[in-house]
Amino acid sequence: MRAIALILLAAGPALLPACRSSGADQAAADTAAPQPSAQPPAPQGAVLPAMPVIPAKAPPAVAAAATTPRAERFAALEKEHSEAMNAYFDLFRNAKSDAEMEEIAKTAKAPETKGFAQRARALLEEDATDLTAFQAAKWMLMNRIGPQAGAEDEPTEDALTGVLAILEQHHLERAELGDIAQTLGYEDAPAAQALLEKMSTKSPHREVRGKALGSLAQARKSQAENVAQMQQLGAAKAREEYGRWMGVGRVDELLAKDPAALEAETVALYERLKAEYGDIKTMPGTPYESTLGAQADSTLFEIRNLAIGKTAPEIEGQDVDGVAFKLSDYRGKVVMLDFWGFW
Amino acid sequence: MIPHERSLVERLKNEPFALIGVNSDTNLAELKERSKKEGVTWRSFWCGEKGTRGPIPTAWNVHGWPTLYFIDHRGVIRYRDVRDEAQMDKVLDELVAEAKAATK
Repeated sequence: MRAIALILLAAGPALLPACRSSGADQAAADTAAPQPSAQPPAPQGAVLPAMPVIPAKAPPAVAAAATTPRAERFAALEKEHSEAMNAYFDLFRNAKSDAEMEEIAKTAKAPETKGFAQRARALLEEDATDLTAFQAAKWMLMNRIGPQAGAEDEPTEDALTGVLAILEQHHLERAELGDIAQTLGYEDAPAAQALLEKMSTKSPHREVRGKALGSLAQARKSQAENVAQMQQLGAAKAREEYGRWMGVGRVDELLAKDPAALEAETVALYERLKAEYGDIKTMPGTPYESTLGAQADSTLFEIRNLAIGKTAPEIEGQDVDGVAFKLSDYRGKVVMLDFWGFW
Repeated sequence: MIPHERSLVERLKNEPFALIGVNSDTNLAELKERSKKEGVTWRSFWCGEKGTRGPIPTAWNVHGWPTLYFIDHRGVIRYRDVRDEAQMDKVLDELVAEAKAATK
């Protein structure tokens, strides 16, 4: 992987806000290939290169036993979309240099999503209640056939609200609802948060309630971080940088919030997650298997020890030649600590 | 990222500055070879066979790469994830100036 592209490998709940638009967090677990979309600004006002976040290569969509004509239509839609996305991302994956990759970013056209989105919506309009309807709604969420991206054929906020309303009205009791908790957590839209609230209290399945609570905690955490960054940037710059992807009205709403109070709420949510749902496994059977409790612990550690203004925790390890060293060996110098890989 | 990091290391070689990596490649031989080829001269912690799930990224709750921390001469975290090159230069210059002022 070229260094210029931001990549996501793991799928924990605490994905950086800078990376949240990709949906690539699901790449390891889900066969749906996320599409590139407008990047929210990175922390500290950094501007990310205009480069799609390239997900790990997704295996081809495995058509579930398609037993009804509707199920067959959905399976075909999912397969064709995933092939189109994979072909597009392959252009980047096969690039031999950063320069070539930048050239591809300028010239290659991302697959049209309009047709796919219309087919998914048609399935929902015919019958919003069956398993295929749930899968179509999930597909729309996972592939960000939602409000964020700016392309003309992207549906509006209303379309997302419509999908969420269908999920709430007809699918709140489904055990599979846990699969979308993480994705909902990355949606800043109040309707997505409201659905998570309902899932966390009303689902008959403990696992769904736990995952929904985890996503609420994650969403609160990124909101606290965003608010802190916005206030640091100042209102004018925050409207410019964040307004592009969440709307200026929402920026003003967030600017009025107290980041310290949001952080306290975040901590309380993670403490509750750990106490009530700590044993629930996430991504079982994959290399990313973890528990909600372990994720809560890591995130609480990050909030308490890795925030701006905190003294960096010690790192002890070995360099690539096997020589032991410590982060604190560099005290007295400015350190830029870079978590990286060639991949 | 790496070309800019190379130029940073060169530009700040006589300043109180260190670029420290935490590398999550799992194949050590390949990592060394590519580092040599691409002029990665700065030191990295190596996360071992577990790569992105090694002890250091796990302890630091890292889920996206690259993740960047900017730590001042006192060991305090001052900025995170400044990925824009111009912005990165600005932040580092500010912190280096502080470090130098502290030793005067």
